[in-house]
Amino acid sequence: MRRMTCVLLPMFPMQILLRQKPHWQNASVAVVDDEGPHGRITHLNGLARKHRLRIGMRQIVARDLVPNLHTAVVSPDEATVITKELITSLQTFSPKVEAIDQKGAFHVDPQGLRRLYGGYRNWATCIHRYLRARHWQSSVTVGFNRYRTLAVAMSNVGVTILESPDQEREQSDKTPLGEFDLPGDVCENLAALGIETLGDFLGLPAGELHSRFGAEASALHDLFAEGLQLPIQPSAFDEPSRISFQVDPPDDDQHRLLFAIKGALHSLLHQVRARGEAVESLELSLHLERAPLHQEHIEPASPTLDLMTLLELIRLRLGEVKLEGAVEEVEILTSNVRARAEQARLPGHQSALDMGAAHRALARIRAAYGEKSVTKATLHNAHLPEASFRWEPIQCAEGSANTSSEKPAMIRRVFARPKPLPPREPKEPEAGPSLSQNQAIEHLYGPYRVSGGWWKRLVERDYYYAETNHGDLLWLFYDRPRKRWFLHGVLD
Amino acid sequence: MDTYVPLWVKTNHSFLEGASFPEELVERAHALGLSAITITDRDGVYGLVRAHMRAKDLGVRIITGAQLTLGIDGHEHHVVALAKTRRGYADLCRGLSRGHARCEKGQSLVHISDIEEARDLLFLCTTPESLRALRPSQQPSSLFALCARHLQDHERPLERALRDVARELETRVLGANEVLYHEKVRRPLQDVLACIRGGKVLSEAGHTIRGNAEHDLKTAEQMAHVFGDDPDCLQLTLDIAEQCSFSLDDIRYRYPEESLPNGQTEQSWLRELTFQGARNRYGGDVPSDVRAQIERELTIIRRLDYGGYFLTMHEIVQYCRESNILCQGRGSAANSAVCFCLGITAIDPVRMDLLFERFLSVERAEPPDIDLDIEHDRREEVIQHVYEKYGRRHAAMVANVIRYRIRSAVRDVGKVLGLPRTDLETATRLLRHRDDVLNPQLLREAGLEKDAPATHHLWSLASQILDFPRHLSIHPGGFLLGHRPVDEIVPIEPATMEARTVIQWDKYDVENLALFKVDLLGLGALTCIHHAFDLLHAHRGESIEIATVPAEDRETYDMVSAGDTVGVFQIESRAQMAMLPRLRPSTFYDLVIEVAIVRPGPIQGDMVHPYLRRRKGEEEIFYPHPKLERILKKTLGVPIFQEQVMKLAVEAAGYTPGEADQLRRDMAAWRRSGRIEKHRTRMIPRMLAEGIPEEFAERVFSQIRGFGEYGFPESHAASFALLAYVTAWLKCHHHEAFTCAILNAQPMGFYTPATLIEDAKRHGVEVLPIDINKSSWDCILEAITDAGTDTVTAVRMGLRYVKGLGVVERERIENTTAPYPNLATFVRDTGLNKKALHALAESGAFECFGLNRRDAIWQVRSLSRFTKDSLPLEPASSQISFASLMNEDQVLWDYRASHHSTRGHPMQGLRDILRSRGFPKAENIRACAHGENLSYVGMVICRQRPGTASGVTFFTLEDETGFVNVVVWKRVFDRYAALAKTASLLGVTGEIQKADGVIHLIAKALWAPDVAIASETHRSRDFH
Repeated sequence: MRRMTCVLLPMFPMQILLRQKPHWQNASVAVVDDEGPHGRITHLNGLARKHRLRIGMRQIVARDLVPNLHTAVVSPDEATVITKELITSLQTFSPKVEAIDQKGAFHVDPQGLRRLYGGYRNWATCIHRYLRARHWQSSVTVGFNRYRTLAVAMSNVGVTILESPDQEREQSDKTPLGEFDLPGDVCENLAALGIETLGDFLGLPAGELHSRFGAEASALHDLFAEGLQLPIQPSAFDEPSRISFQVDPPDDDQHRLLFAIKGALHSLLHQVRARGEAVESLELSLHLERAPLHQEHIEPASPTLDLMTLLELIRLRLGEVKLEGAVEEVEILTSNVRARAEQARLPGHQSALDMGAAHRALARIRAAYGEKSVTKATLHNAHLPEASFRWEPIQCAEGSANTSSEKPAMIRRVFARPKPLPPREPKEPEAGPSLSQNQAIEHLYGPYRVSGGWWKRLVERDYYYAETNHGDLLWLFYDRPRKRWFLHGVLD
Repeated sequence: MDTYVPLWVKTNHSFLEGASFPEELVERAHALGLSAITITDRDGVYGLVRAHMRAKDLGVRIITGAQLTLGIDGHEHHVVALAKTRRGYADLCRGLSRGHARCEKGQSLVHISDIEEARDLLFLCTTPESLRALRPSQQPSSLFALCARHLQDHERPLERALRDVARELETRVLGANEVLYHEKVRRPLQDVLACIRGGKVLSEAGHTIRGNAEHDLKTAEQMAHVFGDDPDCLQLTLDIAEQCSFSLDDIRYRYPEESLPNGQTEQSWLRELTFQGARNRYGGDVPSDVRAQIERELTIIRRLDYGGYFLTMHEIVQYCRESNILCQGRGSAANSAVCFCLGITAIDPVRMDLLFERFLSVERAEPPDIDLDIEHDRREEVIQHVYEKYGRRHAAMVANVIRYRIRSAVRDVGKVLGLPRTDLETATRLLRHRDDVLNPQLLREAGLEKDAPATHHLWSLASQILDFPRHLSIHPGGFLLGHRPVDEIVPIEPATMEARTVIQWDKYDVENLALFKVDLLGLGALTCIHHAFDLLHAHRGESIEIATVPAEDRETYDMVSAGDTVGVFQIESRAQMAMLPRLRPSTFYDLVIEVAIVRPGPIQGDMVHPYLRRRKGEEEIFYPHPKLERILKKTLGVPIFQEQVMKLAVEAAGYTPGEADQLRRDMAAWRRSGRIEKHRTRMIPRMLAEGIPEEFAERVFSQIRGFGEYGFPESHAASFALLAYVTAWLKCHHHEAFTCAILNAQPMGFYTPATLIEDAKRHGVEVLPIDINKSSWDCILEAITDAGTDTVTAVRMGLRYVKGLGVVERERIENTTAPYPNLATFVRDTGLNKKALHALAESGAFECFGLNRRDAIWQVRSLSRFTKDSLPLEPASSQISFASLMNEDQVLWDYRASHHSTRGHPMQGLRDILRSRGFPKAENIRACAHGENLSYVGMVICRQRPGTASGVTFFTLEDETGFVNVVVWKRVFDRYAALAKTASLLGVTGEIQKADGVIHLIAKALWAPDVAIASETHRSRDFH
């Protein structure tokens, strides 16, 4: 008879939290659904339960009872990431692993592994030990029915091997109904009828449930119906395309390295093409002789399978770096996306701007000067001039929205860092700034005062526009806390 | 000589924007030598009265205005409007009222059409658009371009554009800065307020906060420097200030004139009604002393021209009578024979020897304050009657300004500083039982880093923000009524509650301006009394009113003296119950003292025990000074009532009537202002100089502090004592009617319905369960045959007690006719939804159809699908039979479904096991000896930690035989904190303390019994 295994990590969000914060192990801990005072407790550790805290309690109430209670939110994203990691881990024990809706529960197919491990118990124990070594508490149940194994896992700890479907049914029937993901009111309503275990619940006539207790109750009942067992829907192996080769003897000549990389990249691209994908980015790892690993991230303008494009970007990047030692091994890892065929544009429908060329050019600049070499100024809501815009890296070029041919009356060129002007006694703003020897200020316009940041570091600046005897227009400020003048920009 | 007047000043009553109190701004203006200051709060005149009162003290002139939010072409523009005259002020208030009426609560948008008729208003425009928009409707002499210079670079081009438009429209330009705080030191607080308002944290605030600290109140020299290039624009501020002659003192308030019968004046009509009432009260012949008192009061009322106010109160009371709504005046109005005769109050002040001057005096010339208690479930009818009678523009409710308290301050400021919310929650939890002072140590206890700048900022800013207004709420029942529309005195805003409008001033502002206020308050006890009278009339044919309840009934006083007062108004609390066997009231005046003595004032003043000792003759009655005998004679030499304390101040400390009146105000406001301390230095030395012992003087002062907001004047205590007596009499002689009435008046009082029902059952009242074929929505009295012979009246629980049923379900059930032949008919007729049907089934209401509760649940969950079917067919479905509930389970289900059980007490099910372990019942404890050690297990029904009890927590535990009062000292409570705070079933080991018939169990240890009780049965009322 076909076997089925359920691996359950009980109180999954609490386990995630305690792994993140191991120093909370001996304290009262609660997982809440919101950080605010009205956030509700979803999971509690043993100590918190001992202090009479309950699931569903609001954080504000719980803190009243246990002032030193530790609380945190475990986001669904965090749980999803860890679930993926766990699937990968469990795939070392069976090629067929499926995450169940119930958070922290997995179905694992044990078929064909009994002989390899010397019996199901050994196999299940290996999984249990593997997880325990990584600080996961788990319950591993080998049974026959998808959901009955889950039910047994809910009420057992450690490894359970069920010998027969009857034993599985008997044990699973005792599982409290509250363990399943039924809405609270449905559980309460069923409890009112004295229906408190899975066995009680499955004893109710299936056809009467939907109208009385809703779709969820009916769906749960259906899950346990005999003969409706779906096979495992295994998660796909998610492996990046990878190639590596030894360089013997170790070499630091870029031309020879590029030639070697070209060959490897060619066969890697062949693999990628065979999967119907294209390269979105690649990680180039160079293992150096007597020096730390050197890594580079290369990203083409758009997903590609073009060997020469990628090779050119690698050439540009390697041309800008100086390796600290000879390369003894090269590893290339690609991140791929599904290849997309684009229809050629009809003549006359092409934009005047060739954005594709722009993207390619920017990709070459990034390859040559680094990932953050292509940036764009973005306005930011702040009073301090240097905080009122930010240079943010961009991946793609954008066509200019400004079609106006009018030029602004003046352009203020702001220095990346204000330049301190020579100190001048008696260090007061009235004294005015001093410039170079042959430059003098004829008029000062201002001040415009900017102050703030008291919660972190107080800033108080009096800004002025200064007109020099050479006709230059300068933008400078007097820094009150530092009692010094700075040049922050020029106007032209 | 003045060189400028600040014309754009916002106080912290511009909620979450201004960062200085109105008083601080006025004081700063005075310190800077400015002769006048303008108050222009955002969209209102919220801080105006406070500024006005302080300005009067300092001799600074207040120019009145507001910053309007003007809607122009879909954009909002700020315009400062200043009132030149009383008429201009009325126009301003009216415009603001219209602006608020079209927006959500807390916002305003004034349209040009709202103010185009205004002639005595000056408009200062901060944008060219607003200047242009207002020009067609306003004369150039009323319009000004306001150039603000806060040293920000965007202001220059704006000023240039504004000046161009002003030149084009031939309007003048003035210079004024937007003042948000009196000193630069408040700038961080202003940033924090702006972030709270904008929902931002400081590090991401951007333009939510101002760019610099130039929004302070500047000196004349500073302003002259800022506007050095155009001194004329500052000079113009002086001219404008000169034009604005309006002051809040110009508000001549007139109470609405009642519609008088032909040929009657206000005074003559009041006189006629008063004597007519007096003849009714005194059986046709008005005693001479009463007549003399009435004449004296009428003379004072005429001199103060307050006749209209009394007539209005009379009209409201008449409306209540005609609508069969029970009402009664409370507070100092009970000192007035006129109020008594008009039926406003129920206490005869002449017979009680109460002082009229406490209510109204020519010297004080303050408007009288009459608080009218109304049945709580019918108060809204009276409120809507007032709106209807006087109109929405002539009647509006007084505001309640919600201010920052310590916990909200820490929470909001901490959030803005970006501190972890969990740490802030811990801090606010720790703050719960502390004083209103923020201790830096406490923030450290909460886990915040000791030396971190953010912790320092939190402590500093949260301390500064304390008492700052946060938003406007509504006073529970205070009305402002006016002969002229109220919106000419103060803007009116819509309140959150539907069909309510609220003015922009709170009760202190209204008092300070000597405006009349009518307080219409809800009181559950009146509802209960009314229901009980109706039940007695319906079932026994007895017509009883408050006035006809037999006076000085011995059995009632015996019951009260035994502390058997569950449900009795005012004297049902644990503390009152513990006092009653000691004081043993035997007259009405004893009840008045009982009501007043268990209050923080007498307790803090350590007046309780001396009074009890003297009453029992264990201590000699002694007066600290011969002068005080007259004042303290009624209370055996111990000051108990608020007016006694005030008279003491006059007689023993030489207070003038004005000082005494100030003392009364400071007593009422001390929590907010801390002004009471100045009386200490004034009063105690003067009392010592009079030869009064220091210890007595200190006790009197402690009592004054304790009286604060909680002290009772004698007249008020008398009004409440009357209701206490009536409810006690009902409980004593008509317990079933009383129980039925109080259950129908819930929520009210100190105890849960379950406790009231258990108490009734212990007194022999039969309480019947909810039955769909016999119960009404409310509880009813039902005649049942007892033991086949006698007919007794039992209480039938009403459907209102089924959890989950509401107004809609009530209407559906009441639209059908019981009895129903079967469940299917009931379901089809009422069309109730599945949830409601489930609730009824769970409560056992369908047992009359021969269905146990589980079977009923299974059926109704299916039947609810067929509620729309017109044919009386029962759907075919498989009926499963579920096991019937055990008796203990029935009780638990009752509690779960209806918060009570008529079938038994939850403790009954545990009794056998508790008895086997040797735990006594509550009734056994009454027989225990003083000093005996024992353990007891009971259900917690109340936890109370009074502020006057030095951290002691009082628990009331209940079982099927009665209550046990447990005293838990702080160290014991702290040791078992989690258990003490949460346990529904509690075991206590301790020592019996017996004194004067009062029994307490002094806890040494608390423990969780290893027997289970369902959480549904537990609903304690906890007071901290």
